[in-house]
Amino acid sequence: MGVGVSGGGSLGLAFETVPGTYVAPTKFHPILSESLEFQPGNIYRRPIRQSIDNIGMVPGNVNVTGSVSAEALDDVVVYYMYAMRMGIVKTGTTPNWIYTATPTSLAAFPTRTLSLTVVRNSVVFGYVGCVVSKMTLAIQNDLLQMDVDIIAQNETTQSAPTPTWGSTTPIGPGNWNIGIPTATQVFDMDTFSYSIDEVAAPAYRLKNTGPNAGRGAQFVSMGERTVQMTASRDFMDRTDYNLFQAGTPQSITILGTANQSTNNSIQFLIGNSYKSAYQVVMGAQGDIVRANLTYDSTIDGSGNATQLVVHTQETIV
Amino acid sequence: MPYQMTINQENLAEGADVLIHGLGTFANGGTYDISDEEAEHFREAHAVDAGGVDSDPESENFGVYVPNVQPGPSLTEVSIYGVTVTESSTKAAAPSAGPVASTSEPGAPVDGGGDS
Repeated sequence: MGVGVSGGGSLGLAFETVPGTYVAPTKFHPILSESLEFQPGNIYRRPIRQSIDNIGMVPGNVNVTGSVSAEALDDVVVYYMYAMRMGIVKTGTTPNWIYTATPTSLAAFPTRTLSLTVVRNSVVFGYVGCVVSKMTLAIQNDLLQMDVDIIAQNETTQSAPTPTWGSTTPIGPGNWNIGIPTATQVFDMDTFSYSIDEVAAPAYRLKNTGPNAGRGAQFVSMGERTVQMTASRDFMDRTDYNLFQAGTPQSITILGTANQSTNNSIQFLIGNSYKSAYQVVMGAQGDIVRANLTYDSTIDGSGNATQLVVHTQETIV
Repeated sequence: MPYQMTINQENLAEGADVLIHGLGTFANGGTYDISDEEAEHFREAHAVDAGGVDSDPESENFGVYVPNVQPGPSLTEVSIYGVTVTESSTKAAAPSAGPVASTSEPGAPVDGGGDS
């Protein structure tokens, strides 16, 4: 093989029927970058035996970690939501579907696991048992961008897929409705970063089955969940700042539509957010006085720390 | 036409765009005739460089990277999710591929601009 270039690569995904068992991709989506990496966990031996060097290595437990960055497309985000601890309700009628995702607290496992197939320089990497440890939706390059931190149980060798590509439009300028609190649209925010962190970790068990001589994780578990948002707003008066000092919670809704289509959108809601930081900054003579905020969520009256609603034509099968 | 291609991706709506690199953009749910020329263009678009650094010390190219671009697999050799490609019986003989709609143009993938 010759020297490759990243633009020639691809990433595809599929839901797994059995967690950790590879399924060839059923959905490909454009990515901005990825860093999935096999972690070998080598165990180096240093017993006392008339040597002060490593005297050998025992192959250790393995997993795959890394992240995938992509434009947050409505037909793609849903797949990754399923790889978190989400209760997802699908409503609507063909072809326009609505996926309403609410975090669950029932298990340490995601709703579904994914197989991710990455082709780099025509070489295929098949990652199995992939879960989303953390999802971040943020404004980058004026578009809504999705960053997902992945932990996978193992890696397998697979044959090359042939991708197909859709024509979904990213969410960009002119397509935003920011509500703080939820029903009140504000016009002073230019950037935000919203994240759901499930704190996933590979869990190893004593076994002898599976790829890489059975050294992969038995499953990937998830821990305490944290929903957080940061944002930058123009600072114009003390109204919001007083709420920060008083520790008054607010609801936040951010809705982004693709081409202003009501049938293609990504919305997230934080029902009960507290401002943990409120920096009012004067950086330089010519700078606008801005407020940099950090919002931390607690559960709302419905018991939900957040909710995601995606309108799309994608049929999850 | 030598090949007939049917696209039926369950996750997509009927009529949704499906872009296949090197072949064009097609509507989900449709059946399309693919010419030899289009099929060859697909192979070229999926070409692989099997070259390498010349490791023969006797060679005048010793230490030099020598490209060796090979066409990719044919349409019937690849597996594409939700896409079925068959060699048409008309390849050998004569007429009619039946009620087939074709919207693809060789080497002219439709790109909506800003689309994925």
